[in-house]
Amino acid sequence: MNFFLVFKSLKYNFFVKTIFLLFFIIPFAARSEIMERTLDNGMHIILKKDSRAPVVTSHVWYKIGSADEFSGKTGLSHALEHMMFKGTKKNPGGTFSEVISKLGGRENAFTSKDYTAYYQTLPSEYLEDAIRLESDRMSNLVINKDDFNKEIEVIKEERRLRTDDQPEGIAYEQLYASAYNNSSYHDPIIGWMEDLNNMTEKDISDWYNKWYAPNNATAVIVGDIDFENTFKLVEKYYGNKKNKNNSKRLHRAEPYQFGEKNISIKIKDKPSYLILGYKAPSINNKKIDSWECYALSVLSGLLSSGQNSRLQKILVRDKKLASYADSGYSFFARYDSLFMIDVNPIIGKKISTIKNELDKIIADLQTKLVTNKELDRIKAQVLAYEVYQRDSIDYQARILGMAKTSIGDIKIIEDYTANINSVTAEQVRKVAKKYLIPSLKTSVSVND
Amino acid sequence: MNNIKKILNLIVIMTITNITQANVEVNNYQTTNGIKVLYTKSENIPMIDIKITFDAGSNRDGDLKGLSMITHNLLDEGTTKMSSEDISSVFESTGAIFSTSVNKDQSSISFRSLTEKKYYNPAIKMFLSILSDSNFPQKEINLHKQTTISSIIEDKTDPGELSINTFFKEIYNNHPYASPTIGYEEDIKKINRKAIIEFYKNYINAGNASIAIVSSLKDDDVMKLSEKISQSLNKKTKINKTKAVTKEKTKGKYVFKKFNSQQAHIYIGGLSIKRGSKNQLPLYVGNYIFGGSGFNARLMQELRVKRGLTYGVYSYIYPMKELGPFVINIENKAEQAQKSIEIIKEMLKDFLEKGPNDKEINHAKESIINGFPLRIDSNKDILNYLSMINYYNLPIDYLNTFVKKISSISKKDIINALQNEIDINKMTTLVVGNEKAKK
Repeated sequence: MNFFLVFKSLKYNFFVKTIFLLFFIIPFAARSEIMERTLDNGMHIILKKDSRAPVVTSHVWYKIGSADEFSGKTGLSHALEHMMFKGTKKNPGGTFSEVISKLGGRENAFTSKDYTAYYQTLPSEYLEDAIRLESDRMSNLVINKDDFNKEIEVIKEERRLRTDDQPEGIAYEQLYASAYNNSSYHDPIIGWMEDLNNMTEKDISDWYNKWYAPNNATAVIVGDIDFENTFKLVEKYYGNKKNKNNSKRLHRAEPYQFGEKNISIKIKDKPSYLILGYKAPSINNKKIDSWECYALSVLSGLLSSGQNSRLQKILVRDKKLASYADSGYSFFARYDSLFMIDVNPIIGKKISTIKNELDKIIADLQTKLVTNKELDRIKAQVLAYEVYQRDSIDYQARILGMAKTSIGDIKIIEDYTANINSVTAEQVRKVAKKYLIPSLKTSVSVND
Repeated sequence: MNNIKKILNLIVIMTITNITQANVEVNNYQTTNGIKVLYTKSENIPMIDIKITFDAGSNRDGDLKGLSMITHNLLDEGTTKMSSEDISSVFESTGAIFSTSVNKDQSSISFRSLTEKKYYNPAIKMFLSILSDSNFPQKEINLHKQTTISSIIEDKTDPGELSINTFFKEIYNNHPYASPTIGYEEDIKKINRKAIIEFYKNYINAGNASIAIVSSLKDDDVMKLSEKISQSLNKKTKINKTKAVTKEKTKGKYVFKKFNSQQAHIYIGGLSIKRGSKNQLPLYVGNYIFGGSGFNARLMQELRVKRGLTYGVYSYIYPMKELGPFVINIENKAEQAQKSIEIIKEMLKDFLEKGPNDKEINHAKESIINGFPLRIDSNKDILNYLSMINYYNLPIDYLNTFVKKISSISKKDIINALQNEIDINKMTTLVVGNEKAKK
């Protein structure tokens, strides 16, 4: 189940583009399309109307992810997500999936560093079935040893498929592990294989009991719905659930980085690859002005959005050093994260040459002001994507869930375009000078 | 307006099952030079999607494998008046998206834009000038040849890409379907501007095109636009029939390809049906039950849920213009490769003999019918359906009849289709993996 890595590798993940799709996030034409409430037990509810088709998507987001795990127990949140498909007393085994499938729906789940989310998309008339089943497994999950022993093997296969046999997956994992000494983002979402080998069903049920409760969850429902009736449905199934005294999520802050970190790894029989990250702020960072986050988003757009962006133009088209080059930055993270760049060199081109070019590209952004024409190009794309995203209810629900879960407020979505539009050339230069510097930088080269 | 032959004004496709209702209004015209246009109005979002589909997939490559894809990739890389940079600047500063795609049968040019005049006017003008005036500058050809070759070499180091490409080669032998759409390194090296222009004139033209549009524009504007698109395309040429695929009388074979990876990538399958075959829908339902519906399918239940052997196992039925394949795909650690193959083959044998049971059939039919609105719940989905109806000459009420036909499929239909179109004895089994995955 589940495409677990929201930010896996710039190129490979389906959701990767959120790194900069967030950049192109969809706000809403009018607040009236959205209803937001909180149940007495603390569960948040966000409803959004989109009546183009008789279809609805129903999500539940938990504030728990790999960043809440500790050494020796990595991968717990993701493994629990898998076990959530194993049934309850009332709906044993695969009943949940069978019912959703019979109703013509599709369902899945995903885990990130910050959150774990479950969803069903189905004809709107069956919304109640989805809510009923999802609410049941919030508190009544049955976790048994036999199921766990099989599922952990499935998870190991998932790890082999997405990380161990993928040079870009390995490089991405190494980037975070090398960039962060102490931060909660150090460990991979799926967990280290060594930890998966030691995990038990008791670890999973402890994790479940600790974190899965209405006061740690947000329901997001987008589609052809009526607000009042839908709210009543959610209340009916979740309203009587007891909240839990959740442990506080511990944030392990990252100590000072003493200089640039350069990691060089060898992977047999694979082409070379470069990924690098600069430590950059999340919008939750109270020590900075929030415009910095928007300026960094624009900066990422200048680097990689479209054929005339700097990386494309210089590395791919003019110098012909790379077959692919991208950048990614998302401030929609709970903690400070990485501003990333990744490059697939043309076969035979040296990583050192590419690194030199990247240094020049960044130095240029730190010294010269970008032109208004360049800025306007980015802003037009933001506006257009904001409209295009309305074509997908799943995407709309994801953005709402992510904003509420990681930032705590969905207003940030509403204001997104305006905030991007007010970014100036001077601000772009400032953040380039402040963040794209050696003492915040880690790079991982594969087969250089 | 007078120039436009409006064949059929409006067809309302309405699907009413006992519980679900979804409808899509499909307008149907033909341009003066004979191009079929299907159009749906979607007023809620101020944007337009256009997809022009051509019978110009990689099966038209001829001796230069990869020619179709590289030609399509170069369409927006320069016109007689504009450079690549000029073109992308217009699209980027209006937020418009121009893209092309190529599969083994067909190719398409897609365009998405806002409909607000300030953005739409310059973007659509550029789109039309690309259609009428692509010029394939030598500089850009060189760049694309280099990046394509680099990607081809990279693909050989990826077990997923390597195994699917090897599998097609094994089952299609000398047929054009055998080669990957991206082509082969030695052929890309030989491609020159002359070959590209020849392909462009011969295949990406008015005689070979159909148009699908979903937008918030008024009917009149869409018709005028269709006419402009049709006039911008290259003139019609005579196009040869595609080469037929023959089911050879060979026995099934086992192929092992050594590769340095932890997991083995396994494909089991063979030739099956053409698109439009009377067995297409019964096979669709049969495959849905066996391995085509994800988590609830037999393969996934047995190999993932009951045995913990893999993260994913699926079966696919790909009806193509000529005979397309039925194929099962699984990845798991090398040590378990042979065990998985044994289980899958046993399951397939049983399924082909006995077919699905009544409960499975009812479940699948309900699932497909109930899920119908999800197939057409976005402009993008509708666009792709319109394009498919056009390209494969399906009846315009295809979306409607699809549900009716699914509900009338019987167990006997499914078993007949399975037994006639899937031959377990003629299947190829491919294993790409390390020594431990070998027999």
